[in-house]
Amino acid sequence: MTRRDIERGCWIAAAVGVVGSAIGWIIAPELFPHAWLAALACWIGWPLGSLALLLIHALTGGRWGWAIRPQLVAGIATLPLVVPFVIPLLFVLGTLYPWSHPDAHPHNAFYLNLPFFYGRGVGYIVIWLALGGAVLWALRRDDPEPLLYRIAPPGLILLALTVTFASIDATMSLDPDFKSSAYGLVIGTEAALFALSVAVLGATIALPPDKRSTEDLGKLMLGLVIFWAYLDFMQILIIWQSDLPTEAAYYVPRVTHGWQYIAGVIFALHFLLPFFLLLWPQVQSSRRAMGTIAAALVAAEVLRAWWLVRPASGHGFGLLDVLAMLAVFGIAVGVALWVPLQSLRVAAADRHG
Amino acid sequence: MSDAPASPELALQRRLARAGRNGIRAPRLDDPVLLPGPTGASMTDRVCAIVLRERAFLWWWIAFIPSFLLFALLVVSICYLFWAGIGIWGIGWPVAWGFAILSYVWWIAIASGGTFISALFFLVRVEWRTSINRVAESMMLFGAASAGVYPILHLGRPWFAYWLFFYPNTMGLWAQFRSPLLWDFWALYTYVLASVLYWYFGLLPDLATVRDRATGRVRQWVYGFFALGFRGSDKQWKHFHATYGIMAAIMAPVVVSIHSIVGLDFAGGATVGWHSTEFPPFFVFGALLSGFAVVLLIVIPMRRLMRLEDFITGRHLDVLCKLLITSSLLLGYAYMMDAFTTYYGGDPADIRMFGVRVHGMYMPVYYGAILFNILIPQLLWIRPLRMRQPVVILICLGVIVGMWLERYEIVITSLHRPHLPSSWGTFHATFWDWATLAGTIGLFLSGILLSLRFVPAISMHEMRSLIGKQRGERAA
Repeated sequence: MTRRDIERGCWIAAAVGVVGSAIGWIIAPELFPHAWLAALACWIGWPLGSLALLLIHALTGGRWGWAIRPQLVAGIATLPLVVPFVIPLLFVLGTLYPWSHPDAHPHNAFYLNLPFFYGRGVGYIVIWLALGGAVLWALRRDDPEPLLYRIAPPGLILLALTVTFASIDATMSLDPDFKSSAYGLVIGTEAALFALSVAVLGATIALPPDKRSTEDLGKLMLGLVIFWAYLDFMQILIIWQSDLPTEAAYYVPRVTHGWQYIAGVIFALHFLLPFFLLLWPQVQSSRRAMGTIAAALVAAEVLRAWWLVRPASGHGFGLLDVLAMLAVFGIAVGVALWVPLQSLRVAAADRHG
Repeated sequence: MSDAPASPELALQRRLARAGRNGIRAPRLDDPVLLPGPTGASMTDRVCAIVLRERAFLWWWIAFIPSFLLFALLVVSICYLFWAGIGIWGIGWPVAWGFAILSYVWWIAIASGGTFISALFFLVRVEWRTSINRVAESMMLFGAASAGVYPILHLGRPWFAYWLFFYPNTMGLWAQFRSPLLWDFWALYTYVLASVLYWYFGLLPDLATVRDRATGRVRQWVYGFFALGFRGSDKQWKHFHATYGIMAAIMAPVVVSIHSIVGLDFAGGATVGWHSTEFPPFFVFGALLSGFAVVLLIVIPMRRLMRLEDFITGRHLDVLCKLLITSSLLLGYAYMMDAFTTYYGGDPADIRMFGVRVHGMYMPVYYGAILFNILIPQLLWIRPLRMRQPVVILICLGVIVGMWLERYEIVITSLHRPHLPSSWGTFHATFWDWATLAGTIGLFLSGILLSLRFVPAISMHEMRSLIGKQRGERAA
């Protein structure tokens, strides 16, 4: 399968997804909002996580970053899609967020009110586009590293803040009574792991990195898998232990009506399988094994986006969820493959080969 | 500029020669991890000479005597506590957790920071760790010892301490297995035991080196006894490296678990201000910050007083200061989320208590923690300041004070405003609270000073392999 075939496949998937989602929106308007939000919440982790990984690599250096830099840059290049992707959501906020109803008076109305919500949303998008633009602009230079090194500290601080509050706005506030101070950390780590998985998967298909780089990527992936599992487990452990009504109520729809099985699959694919496999050095240095683990992590992340968002709607999982995911990822992967990277200093061979 | 250096290597050599004449080598930002002068043998000579000196340095006695007196104060405080009971402390109702718990958390953070440097950076194979891992491990050991005395002191009826241990349940007194307080006890003593083993095991080859170089009969016997027959055979090194690697891999999750469980002690309850899902990572961030600060506080005077400038260079200060900024920012994130979630969650008791923190009687504690832990460390963004050792020392001292204030804020501010207004109260520390705290500082400092005097301050076997590797690279 050539790159062109994959690109064509993406556009076909995107077309099917967009048309299907549009029809779904018309015939089942109550199902569309959560389907689209889940797809958007899942996808946005890719460009933002790629941005974070690239900036971290600009600070720390290391083989792993050079091995996947083209994939990370391709991920960042999809960031402008956030603008068209967000537009459908603006029409369905009332269905998504109970706090946005005029007659709702949530206790946290100082934060969860529509004008402030819109303002924050614009702020996040402006910051993300500016950061992404700055990184791509730096990469056009002959030696981008000094500039990237200067962009990285403020860039990472801004990313941490915006990703935290964007995750609270987009998915935590689906249940306005739920609060978790670790939520932003969980979502941020998840985004970095997702971007790393996509990049490793892309690199495995396009140009497999050498053995030592693969090993470093395996170690980084293991570290992120452990850190994510730790954060998410601590959240659920504390909520289980305290057993307070508002917090337990968040988990109830996510562990009933069949969602408990999805949770089990996520646990297996997003933690158990990668954790136990990546402990083996042979697996860490095997390109094929790493590609398979990355694919499992990508699949788990898609499931997790549905698991986080869909139960809040009170409706079950359906075809529209798949179509929306297909639309968003079809377009995004299509754009990532289409963007010309030749003018940017991204090739590993330029740097250390 | 007719005598401009031909290469960076030459420039470094000239600078070192000049510095050598002045007697003191100031750290510089462009220092390598290891200055090019020493060989494996000269490094071993230098480090062993410190341990095998007939008489300790004068500075050592000046530091040790007050530290030991403070340690003696700890012994007196503990004896009086066991005699009179915990009524001698300021705790009561509603503030039932006072200095014992807050100082315990403070010490365990310092110890955990040492483990992070030693174990985590061993696993990711960074070279700069080699010069400071022994100090970090000693810090872990004596930090854990200072923390370890508190839980039993805090019990009130210390003669029932064994109820917390695993033991045959002949009395039918099963502990509450769902309580993080019980997990904490197990985690703490697992950690203390693992720390001792990890520190001691990493020392074995160095103890053997000192044994072989010792001249007096007593020293030969003592170091020989503790070296456990390590002779440096191929087989022993093979086992040593494998075991040390496994120990480091065990220590890394153990240290995260101990500090996370300390976080769970608080977060698991419904006490005002404690129930927060970020507490476990928040506490780990605090551990990192205090660990980097204390290691800098030990390393900076040590490199000067023990003439270890070749091995602890500007590069170490630079890296540690950068890590200090990073952990300070992470902690700042945790403070921000704590404040945000309080108001977002909307629980009236939480908001009322937070109001007391922000503009009540404990206001200085809250702002002090922010100032010392978050704001002042940001000065280290200025690169030349990272090489100004007095400035770095002051910032690190500030962090240590700030971390203590943070624990004070979490433990005492939260407890003094419970849900029921009729139960509100205040806390006043007594002389014995302060004496016990000062005593644990004495225990920590005495331990560190004793280890600097009698144990090689730099891990010689790891340093020899680093020197060998660097020489090989240079030759290539």
